[in-house]
Amino acid sequence: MAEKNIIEIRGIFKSYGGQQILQNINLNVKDGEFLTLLGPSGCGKTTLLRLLAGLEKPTSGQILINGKDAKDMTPQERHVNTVFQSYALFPHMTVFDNVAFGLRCDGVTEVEIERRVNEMLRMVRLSGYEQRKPSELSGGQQQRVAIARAVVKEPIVLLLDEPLSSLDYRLRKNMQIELKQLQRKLGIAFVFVTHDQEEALSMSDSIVVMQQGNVVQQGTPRDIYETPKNISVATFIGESNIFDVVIDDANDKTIKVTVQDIQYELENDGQFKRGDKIHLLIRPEDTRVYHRSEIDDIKMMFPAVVNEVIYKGTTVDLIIKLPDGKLLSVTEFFDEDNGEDVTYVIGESVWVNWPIGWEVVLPYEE
Amino acid sequence: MRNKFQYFSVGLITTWLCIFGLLSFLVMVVMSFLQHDPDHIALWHFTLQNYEDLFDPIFFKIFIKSFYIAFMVTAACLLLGYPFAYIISRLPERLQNTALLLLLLPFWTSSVVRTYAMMSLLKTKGLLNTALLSLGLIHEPLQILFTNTAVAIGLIYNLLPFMILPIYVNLERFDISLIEAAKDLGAKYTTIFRKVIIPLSIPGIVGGCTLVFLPAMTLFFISDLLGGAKALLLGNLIEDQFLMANNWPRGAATSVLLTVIMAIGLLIYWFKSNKRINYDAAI
Ligand SMILES: Nc1ncnc2c1ncn2[C@@H]1O[C@H](COP(=O)(O)OP(=O)(O)OP(=O)(O)O)[C@@H](O)[C@H]1O
Ligand SMILES: [Mg+2]
Repeated sequence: MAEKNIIEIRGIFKSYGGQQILQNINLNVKDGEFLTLLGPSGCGKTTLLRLLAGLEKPTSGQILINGKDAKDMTPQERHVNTVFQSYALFPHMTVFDNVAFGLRCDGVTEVEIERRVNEMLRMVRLSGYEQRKPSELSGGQQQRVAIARAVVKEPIVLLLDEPLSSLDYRLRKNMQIELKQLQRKLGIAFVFVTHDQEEALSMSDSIVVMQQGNVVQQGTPRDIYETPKNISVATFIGESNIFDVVIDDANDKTIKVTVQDIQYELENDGQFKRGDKIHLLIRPEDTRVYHRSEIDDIKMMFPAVVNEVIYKGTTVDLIIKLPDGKLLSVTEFFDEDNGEDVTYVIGESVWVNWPIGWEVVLPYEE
Repeated sequence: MRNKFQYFSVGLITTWLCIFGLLSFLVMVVMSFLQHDPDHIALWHFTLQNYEDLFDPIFFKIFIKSFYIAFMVTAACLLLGYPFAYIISRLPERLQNTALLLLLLPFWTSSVVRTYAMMSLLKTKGLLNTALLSLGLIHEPLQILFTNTAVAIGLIYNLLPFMILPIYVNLERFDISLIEAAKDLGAKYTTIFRKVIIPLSIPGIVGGCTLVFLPAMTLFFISDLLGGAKALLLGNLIEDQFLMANNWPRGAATSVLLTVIMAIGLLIYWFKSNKRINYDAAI
């Protein structure tokens, strides 16, 4: 994959009527990469896309598209196309004409248009719907027309604003795969907006986590999941069990903390000092529970009671209650070979631990 | 509570329309099949004579001419009114209200009074001629008053707001994101206008044209005041038959014919739009 930056965002600020929406955004989109903007509702994802599409001007800062300053480029000149959050399909045109619109603007011949539009519609599984009006389509079908309409122009960057949000689970999974294949096939960069962390993790080459108009962290899905930069990223990406503790003792290499009356020695990768307050994060799938009868050595384990058992098909999710009343989530995978007994009953007493080193230690935040 | 009020208001409007719209139209329809009688309003005797009379070439000529004037006036109102409505709809909300107020302000004066004012503007030594003369654009006063042009100007002036308002209402709720999508797809401004904005404002355009076309054929006092004896609208014809010739049945037949023609026009549009231009559902 080429390492060239197709889009460079440098120190972008954006405010509407005195209200700061985006603060000092610095971001690169590499050619051919699948980049996801992930963040809660209202954090400025759509606003950032609109700046890239040229539908909005930044208050300050610079955007380079393909190495050129985009300040004076109109949306028409950018070769960047958008799949709008609200679809914005032309209600008076058929599906075919909607998809053909951008090509007609470029003066592509009708024969060529016919070919490309039909191919595109086949790709989004809307063959046979050419002559329908958008009002005669379901929400998911409209969304796919919106995707087809933007993709058919073969832009250098495709911006997608929550393009899968109104699809049902199966179609959504299908479209995730199709979009990913499409992106590989076209070899163009996708900037994809979602507030579904699972979608972000499974599709992206790179994830940008945004919060209240700031980029909090950028990295590969694995980086973001395994080494979140702060507690809000960690809690936004997936579930976590969090213990707020004070460091008992620390040196350059290790810290000592007490969790549920047991002192653990953990790696010190954040230059923590004795007396620092930290969040100790353990993912549900890293939290291990054991039947009382299974275990002899309980030196590094703490007790809990099963509070809830949720059968999920491939996993069993447990809610367990610690003696002090704190609740933890646990995900146990069925592992037929291992023969481990994952049938738990509510009210059962269990032992709990986690593989030391799989925890995440983050500085304490309010 | 709210339901009662709804029933009451809808009921009131329906009653109003039934009495003053439907009922009076039915009276007209009945009247148009009765025999003319100089001494009474009409004679209770069925006849098709009134409609046969309308095929007289003189009536036919007035019909055509009236249609022609109304068509030109509607076209002119559309050309003037569309940009006007577009501009108002793009103003900030507060200015929009001001603009609408200014647009409707003249309507607080009687239309007849305003037409008299128009006379004094257009007459040989009126404001328009004086201005054009002193600017050196013309060398002798234009004879505008008592011509078809004067009638057209008067009609356009009186009817323009009826074109602007429906189009404005349509454009005001226009989904801006469609324009953004078109830009994003590389459409030039002229393309956006031709392919997106105009087609989507067709309901407003049709509404405006309907509101302008019918009055443009029937506003007889404008033709009376500005057109002199020369210009004759369908409205004048109907007026004459009722008031001068005292021939109520034939007057009724004329207006029924006019209504039928307009109704056919609207029905054609309605059927076409139901099949093909189903915009409103999607907006
Ligand atoms: N035109 C505007 N004028 C004023 N404020 C705006 C405008 N557009 C967006 N905002 C504000 O900017 C903030 C960010 O909006 P934005 O649409 O970018 O959020 P988002 O991350 O896309 O959210 P969502 O996930 O709900 O779509 C919001 O607080 C919103 O109210
Ligand atoms: Mg958004």
